[in-house]
Amino acid sequence: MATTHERVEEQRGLQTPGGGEHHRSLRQDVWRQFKKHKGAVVGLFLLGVIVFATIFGPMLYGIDPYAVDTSIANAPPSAEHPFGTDQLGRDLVARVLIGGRISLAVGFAAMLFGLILGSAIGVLSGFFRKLDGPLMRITDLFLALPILPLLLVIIMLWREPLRRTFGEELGIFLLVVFVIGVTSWMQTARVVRGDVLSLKEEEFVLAANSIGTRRRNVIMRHILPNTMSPIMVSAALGVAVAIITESALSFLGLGFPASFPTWGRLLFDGTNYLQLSPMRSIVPGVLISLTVMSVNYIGDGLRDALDPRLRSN
Amino acid sequence: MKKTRLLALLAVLAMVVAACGGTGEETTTTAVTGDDEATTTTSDDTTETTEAPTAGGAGEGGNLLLLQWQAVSQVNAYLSTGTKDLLAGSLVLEPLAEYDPTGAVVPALAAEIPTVENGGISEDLTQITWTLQDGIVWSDGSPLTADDVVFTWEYCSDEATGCQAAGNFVDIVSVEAVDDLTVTVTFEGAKPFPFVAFTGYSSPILQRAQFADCVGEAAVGCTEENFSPVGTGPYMVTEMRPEDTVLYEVNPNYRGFAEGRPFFGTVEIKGGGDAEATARSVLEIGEADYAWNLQVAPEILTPMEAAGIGSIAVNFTSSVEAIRVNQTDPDADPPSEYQGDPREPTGGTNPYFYDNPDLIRALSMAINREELNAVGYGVTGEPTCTFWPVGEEATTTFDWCLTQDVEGANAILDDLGYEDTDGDGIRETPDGLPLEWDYVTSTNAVRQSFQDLIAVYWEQIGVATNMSNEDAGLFFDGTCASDACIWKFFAPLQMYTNSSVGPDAATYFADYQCSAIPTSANSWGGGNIERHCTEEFDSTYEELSVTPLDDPGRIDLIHALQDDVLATSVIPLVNRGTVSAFANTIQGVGDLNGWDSEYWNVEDWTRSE
Amino acid sequence: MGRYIVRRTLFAIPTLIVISLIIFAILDLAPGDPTSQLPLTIPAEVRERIRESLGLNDPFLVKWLKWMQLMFINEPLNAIDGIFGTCIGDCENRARIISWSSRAPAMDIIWQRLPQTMWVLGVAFVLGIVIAIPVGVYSAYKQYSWFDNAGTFVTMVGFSVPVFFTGILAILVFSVWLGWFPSFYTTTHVVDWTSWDSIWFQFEQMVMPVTVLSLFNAAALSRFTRASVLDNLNEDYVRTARSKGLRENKVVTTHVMRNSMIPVVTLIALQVPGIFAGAIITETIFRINGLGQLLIISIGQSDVPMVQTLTFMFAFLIVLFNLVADVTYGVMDPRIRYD
Repeated sequence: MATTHERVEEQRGLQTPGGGEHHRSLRQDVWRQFKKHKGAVVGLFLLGVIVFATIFGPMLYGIDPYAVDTSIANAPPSAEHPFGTDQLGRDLVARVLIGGRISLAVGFAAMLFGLILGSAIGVLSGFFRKLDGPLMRITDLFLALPILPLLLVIIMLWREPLRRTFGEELGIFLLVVFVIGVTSWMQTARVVRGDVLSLKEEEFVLAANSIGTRRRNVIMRHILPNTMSPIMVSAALGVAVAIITESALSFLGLGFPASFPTWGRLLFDGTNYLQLSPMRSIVPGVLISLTVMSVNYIGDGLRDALDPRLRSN
Repeated sequence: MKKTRLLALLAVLAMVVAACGGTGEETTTTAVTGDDEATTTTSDDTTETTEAPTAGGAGEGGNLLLLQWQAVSQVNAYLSTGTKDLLAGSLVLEPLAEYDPTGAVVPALAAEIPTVENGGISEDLTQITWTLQDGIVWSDGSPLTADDVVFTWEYCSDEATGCQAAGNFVDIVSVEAVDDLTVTVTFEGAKPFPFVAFTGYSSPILQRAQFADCVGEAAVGCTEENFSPVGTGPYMVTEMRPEDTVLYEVNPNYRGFAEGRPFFGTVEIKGGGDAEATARSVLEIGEADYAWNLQVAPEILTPMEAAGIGSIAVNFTSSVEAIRVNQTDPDADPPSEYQGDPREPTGGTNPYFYDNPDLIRALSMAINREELNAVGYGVTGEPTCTFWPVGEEATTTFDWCLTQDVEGANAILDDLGYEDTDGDGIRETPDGLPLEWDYVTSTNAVRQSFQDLIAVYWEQIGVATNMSNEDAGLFFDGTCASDACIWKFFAPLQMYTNSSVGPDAATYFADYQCSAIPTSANSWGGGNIERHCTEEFDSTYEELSVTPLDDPGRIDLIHALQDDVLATSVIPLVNRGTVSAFANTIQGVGDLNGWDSEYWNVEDWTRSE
Repeated sequence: MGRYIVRRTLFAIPTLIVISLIIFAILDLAPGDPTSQLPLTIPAEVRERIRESLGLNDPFLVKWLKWMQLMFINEPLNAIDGIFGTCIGDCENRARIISWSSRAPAMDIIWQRLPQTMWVLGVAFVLGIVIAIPVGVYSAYKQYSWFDNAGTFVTMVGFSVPVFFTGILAILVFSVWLGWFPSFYTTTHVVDWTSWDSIWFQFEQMVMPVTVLSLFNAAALSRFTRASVLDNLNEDYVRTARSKGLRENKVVTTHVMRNSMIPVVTLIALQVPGIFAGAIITETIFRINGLGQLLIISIGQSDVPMVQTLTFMFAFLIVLFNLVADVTYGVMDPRIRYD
C-alpha cells in the first residue's frame, strides 16, 4: 500500500509545488473531478440533508423527544407520529432526529480527534528522524492492540469517573469520542508519514530549508498542505468508522445509556420490539447505513479526485 | 413449498434436503397454569407423586431442552455465581429439604421435616435433628450417609473455599452424625426457622468421597468435580461447557427410577442470547421446551404467547421493586454515614425523610402503581404496598396505596405546611428547603420508564426529582469500589428490587435492624441500606427471633415490623414475579417455584404430543 | 530475508509484553466485582472471603508477574503437554489461569469454544475471499461498466450497512417469520460427515451468520481488490504485454493478477485477527456461544482473568498475523529488500 502511495506522491509533487496560486487551481481541479463521481455527489447531498435535518430538525419538528405519554405507547406510524412511538409513547421521528445529532457529533468529533493525532504523529515521525523510530513503534503497538475488546473494557472502566466529572451526557460523549479517536489514528499516521518522508526530499522543501525557514513554518506551510489529500480521504473513512463503532458499542449495550438516544442505542432498544414496531429498528438502522454509505462514497470520490493519474485521464 | 423455496435459495450447494427443523407443531394442549393444589403443610412425609408418566421406564422421554439466557458457569452450587448455576446444580444435587411453590418446607433427602412436636427440633429451638431417607444412593452407587451432610458443612464453612452459601451456615456451631442416617445441627442461639442450611437449591449435599480433596484453597482447582458433581438427583452431568451448555443424562441410581421417573432421558441446558430471544424460541418458534427468567417488556412477551406453542408461567415471591428512602443526610459530610451509635449519625438525619411518615405517605399516594405495572411488567408483576407481599405475613396496613390519590397527597403536603412559596411549581418546607431530590437507579429500560412516570406523578404534587441511572455493574457492586453502589446510598432516593432468599420473612427482616446499617467502618457490609433505625423495630425483632414458627402471635410481630419500615423508609411499587415459559407439550410442572429451583420437580415432568 | 524474519519475530516479544501490561493495567483498574452477580443478601464477609480466595487483594505488580508467568510459561507448557501427551516438570500441579466465574482454566474454555467460532467465522472469511476476488478483478477490468457500477454499489452497501442491522433483519425474516433456520447455534453438535442429517443440521445453523458475515467481508475485500487491480492495469508493463500481442486473458491472469494480488494477500493476512473481533458482534446476534460471546459475558461478569486471557489472545493473533503479512509481502514481492 505504502509503496503505491509514495509513487503517487512523487508524481503529484512534480505537478503541484505547493504555491498559492497553484493551490487554488488544484482545489478547483479536484472539485471538477469530484463532481464527475456520481456516487460521491449523491453521497454529499444525502449527508448534507442528514446533517441539516439533525441540526435543525429537532427545532422545526416540535415534538419533544423525551415527552412520555404511555397512552400512546408502541403506536404504529400515523400522521401525527410518522414513524410511530416507543414503549413510553415517545415520538420516534423526534428521537431519531435528536439521536442523529449525537451520532454525527460523535462521528465527526472522533474523526477530528483521530485525524489530528494521526497527522501530528505522522508529520513528526516523518520530519524528525529521531522521533521516527519511537513513534512508529508506538504506532505498531497500537495497531497490535485488539481494539474492540479494549474499547469495551475501557468504557466499562471509565464511564463512571467521567460521568461524575463531566456530567452524564458530556462524560459519556467525551469517553466515546476519546476511545474511538485514540484507537483509530494509526493508519492516518502511517500514510502521512510516508507522504512527509517523500515530500521532505522535494526541491521546494529543500529550498525552504536552505533559505533558513523555521522548521515549524516548513511543516505548516509546505508539508501539511501537501499531505492534505491522504488526510482528507482518511477523514471521510474515519467518520464512517467512528459512526459504525459508536453504534456497535451502543448495540452491545456498552455505549451510550438508554436515556441517550443515539442511532445505535435506538437500534439496540428497538431489536426487542422488532415484531411489534419494526420501524424502531429499521429507521435508525437505515439512517446509520445511509450516513456511512454517503461518507464512504464521498471518500471514494475524494480519492479519485485527488489521484493525479485518474485526474489526468 | 417450503422445501422448494429453500432449494431455490440454496441450489448452488445442491444438497439433499433432509427434514427441516421442526417448527410450529400446532398443539392445543394447555399446560402449566396453576392447578388447585392445596397449600402444602410441612408434615408431608414423602415427595409428592403426581400422575405417573406415560407407560414405560424412566428416561424414555427423549431430550428436554431448557434455555437459560444467562449461561451456566459451573454446577457446584457452593461456588456458583448466581441463580443460573444453582439451577444447573439442582438437577444433580439435592438438599435435605426443599421449598415448594408456596414456600412450605417439604422433604427431599430427609425422611420427614423435623418439628418441635416430632422431636426433630429441640424445645429451646437451638438444635435440629434430620433423619435421612433409607436406601438413597449417589449416582456412583455408594450410599448417602449422615457423614456427607457433615462434610458439606465442613466444605462450605471453610473460609478459603469461597463458598457463596456460607451465610446459610454462619450461625451453626456444629453438625454431627449421630448414626448413618441421622445428623444433628446445633445453632449458636434460638433459631425458630432452622430450614436454611441443607434446605433449598443453594445448599445441597455434596459427596465426601468426591470432594474430600477440594476443601479450602483446593476448591478452585477442582474443575472436574465442580463441573460434574456426584449427586443423588435424577440426572448426572455428561458434558459441561462453561458459559454455554450443560448436558445431562438420567441417573440410573435415582430413587424414583424404578417407578419410571424421570421421564426425560437427557436434559440440555443451553445458555446464550437474551431473555427476549429465548422467550421467542419457546413461545413462537417452538425450538425449546423451557425458557428461564424472562425479564421482557409485557407488550413483547404477551403477544408471543398468542402463537399457541407455549405458555408463560409466573410465580410471585418477595421480589419487590421499591423506592428506598434515605434516613440519613446524603449532603452532609461524611454523607449517609452512621458511626458509633447508629441512632446518632455523624452526618445527621435526613432533613426531609427522617421520621416523617406523612411525607412518605403523600409521595406513595401520588403514585399510580397500576400504570407502572402495566408499563413495566404486565402479567408478570403486581402492584404492591409492602415488601413482603406473599401469604398471610403480608401487611395490609398500607393497601390504600393501590389507588392513586393526587388530591389526597396534595392535602397531606398542605397540612404539613409545605407550600410553593416562590412560584416555581416546587413546594418548600417551612424551613425553605425545596422538595427536590436526586433519584437514582440502575440503567435498565423498565427502571428508566418508572423514573419518568414517577417524576410526572410527583410533579403534580409539587415535588421535583433529578433522575439519574448508574451502570448495573457498579450500582450492585458488592465491593462498593465506586460511590454509585447501593450500599453507600449517597443520594436521597434510590430504586431497585430486593428479595428474600428463603421463604422466612423473619430472616429477611433482620436487615432492618440498626446493627445492619452499612457504614465505612464495616466496609459497607449490611443490608439496612435505607438506614432505617428505630427502637420499636429492634425490640420487636428481638421478640420475633425467639418466637416458634407455630406461635399465633408471630404473624402480628411480622406485620408490626413491616409497618415500621414502610412508614418512613420504603415506598414499594411492584411485586415482580419470576417468569418462565414452557412449551405446551411439557406436563406435570405444577406451579412455578419461586422459592427453590424451578427444576425442583423435574423428575415429574413429562411430554405429551 | 531469514535475518529479517528473525528480527521481526524478536521484536514481537517486547510488543506482546507491553501489550500484556496495558491490558492487565486497564483491567486491574476496573471497578467491577466478580461477586456483584451474587444475590444482594449474601453478607459482606462472605463476599470478602470469595474475593480473597480469588487472589484479588494482591498488589498490582505481584498479580501481573503471576499472570505473566501463567500466560507465557505455564499455559504454553500445558499446551505442549496436551498436544504431545508429555509431562514437562510438575504437570499435575501446574498452576493455570483460572476463570473466576466457572473456576475452570481459562485456556480450556477458550479451546473448547474455538470450533464454533472457526466454523462460522472461518467459513464466512473463506467464502468472503472466494466471492470478493473474482468480483473485484472483473470490476476493475471492466471499469465503469454496468457490472462495475452495480458491484461498486453492492459492495458499498455491504460495507456500509452494519452487520448488527443485517443480522437482526435476517433473524426476523428467516427465523421468526419463515421459520427456516434455527435462531440459536447448537455448540454440542458434532458434524458426522457420513450423515446427511448431521451435515444439514450444521448447514442450517450456519447459513444466516455465514451469509451475513461473508457478504460484509467480501464487500471490503472486493473494493480493495478492485483498487489494486486498477493500479496495475495502468502500469507500463501491462501496456508492454499488450503491445507484445499477448492475449487479453493472459495479460490479466498472469501479469496483472500476480502483481495486484500481493497487497490483497497481505490484507487478507492482516484481516485474520479481525475475524475474532468480528466474532464479538456476530456471535452476540446469532447466539453462537463462541469466543466473542465469551468475551462479552466475561466482561459482564467481571471475570477479569478470562477477559485478560481473551484480550491477550486477540493481541497475540494480531501480532502473529502482522508478522505473517510482512513475511508474505517479502516472499511474494522480490522487489522489496529488507535491511
